[in-house]
Amino acid sequence: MDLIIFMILVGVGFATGTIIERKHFQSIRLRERRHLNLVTTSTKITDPEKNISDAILVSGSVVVSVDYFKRVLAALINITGGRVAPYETLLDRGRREAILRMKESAHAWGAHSIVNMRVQTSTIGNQNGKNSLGMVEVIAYGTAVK
Amino acid sequence: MIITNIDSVPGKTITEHFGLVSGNTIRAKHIGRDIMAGFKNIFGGELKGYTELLEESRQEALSRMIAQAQSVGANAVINVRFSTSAIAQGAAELYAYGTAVKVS
Amino acid sequence: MKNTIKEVDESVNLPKVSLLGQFFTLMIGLLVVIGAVYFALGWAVNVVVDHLSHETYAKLQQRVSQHEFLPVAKKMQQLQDLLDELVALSPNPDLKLKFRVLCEPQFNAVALPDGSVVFFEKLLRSIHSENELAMVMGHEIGHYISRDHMKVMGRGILLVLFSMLFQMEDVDWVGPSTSMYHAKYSQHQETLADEMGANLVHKKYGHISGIESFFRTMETIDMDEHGHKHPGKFVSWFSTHPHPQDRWKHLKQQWKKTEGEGKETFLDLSEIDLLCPPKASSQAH
Repeated sequence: MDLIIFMILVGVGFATGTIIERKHFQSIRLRERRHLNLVTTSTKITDPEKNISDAILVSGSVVVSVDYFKRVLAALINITGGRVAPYETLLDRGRREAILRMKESAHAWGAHSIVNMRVQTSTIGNQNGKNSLGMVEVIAYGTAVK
Repeated sequence: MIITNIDSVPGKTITEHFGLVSGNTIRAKHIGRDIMAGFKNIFGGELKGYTELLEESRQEALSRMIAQAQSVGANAVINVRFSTSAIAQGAAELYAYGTAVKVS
Repeated sequence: MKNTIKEVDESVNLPKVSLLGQFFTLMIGLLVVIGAVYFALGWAVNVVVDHLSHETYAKLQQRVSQHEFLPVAKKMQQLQDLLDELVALSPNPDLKLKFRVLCEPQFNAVALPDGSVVFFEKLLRSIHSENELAMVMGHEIGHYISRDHMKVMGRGILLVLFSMLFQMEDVDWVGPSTSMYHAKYSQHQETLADEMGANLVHKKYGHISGIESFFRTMETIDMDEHGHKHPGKFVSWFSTHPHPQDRWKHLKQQWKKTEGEGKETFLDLSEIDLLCPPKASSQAH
């Protein structure tokens, strides 16, 4: 009985997880292209050719989680060791989404570039032990200038 | 590929900015290592297995970042930052990001 | 300095492997490893139990025997005497076994670690002669002497340890002791026990011809159970035992040379009706 529930969870997790991930990536690519002109760097150098009249701190954050299938797969990889591929997409998605949200708020403010951008990741939820849920919070922040 | 964690490459001038590049990787050690690390926690000292794990992952993340930088045609990455987080038990996530530039 | 806007290569940070493929590979690998470890440990249990010295084994046995496995089973003095007689003929005459009857409509007999040989009512009622009964008793004595029940128990304990290791919630904690009730021995163990049974019957009566009918009864019940009302219920017993016909053939082959025709000894089993009132059993049907 437990095995059946487990199989169903894995199956449902795989199906929904794949669909959601594909859609998310599509939207990320689209929005990344739209905000390509907003120059973002991790340096403190601003473009000397542009006049800077104002600066503001912008940030964007997102909390993402993996589906059941990936969680089980990650647990299996934890035994054998090696690259935990199922979580890599999760974090890639999370980071790009956070940076995009930061860019969007900078864009709304009217910025032409973001400097000294920083990215931070933290695991939230039950972190001690086996029930680690694979929930990740990503925050991106930087100084928007115009 | 020149990697620095300051705003410039000393002795060279930056001619072109390409924006943000990043590389990430998540690695886990096999269960034997995890158990050994558990024992080691009793006596203290360096956890060789995990040092190795993080070192490998850091290299991997860096090389991915460099690959991204190459894809846009940069020859240096400046102001590189690392961030490490524990995604799941026994698995570490390494993220490296910086600004891809062309120097001469 | 100028800013050039370019899209970065996103594929760098994404995995290139098929997750589903990886999942199945790892899952199958894990199952294979668990299976192999369980098998190896089971084998180790067999070896250890076989090589325990008599004193150590007796101590172990004593510890196990403190616990009565089937307290509802009833004594039957008449058959206890027969059992004692057979034990005295066996290679291990110091063995102390208790004969018990369990009023359940099942065609089964088990040897429990506490030293009781439990006959289920249905089996006892379908016995035609003392020879048949002696055969079944000898079979169970055979299990005792080759320490089969201890091996099964060792495996049961292993299974529980495994479940603990993998933190399965729905573990049957009474598992190792109660599973004795439906203990599964390997076909090899069954064959050895059969040989012991036939050996004891031969020692006692000078021939083994009386036991053929038992295998025949078993076969018909086997067919009954598969063809009619209760499938499944007896499947476990029959799946671990070789086919009844093959068992008889094997014994016949072995005793060919010494085989002599002999008469079956009559057995009065009217006492069962006192122990297990027919009403109770018909209700269970």
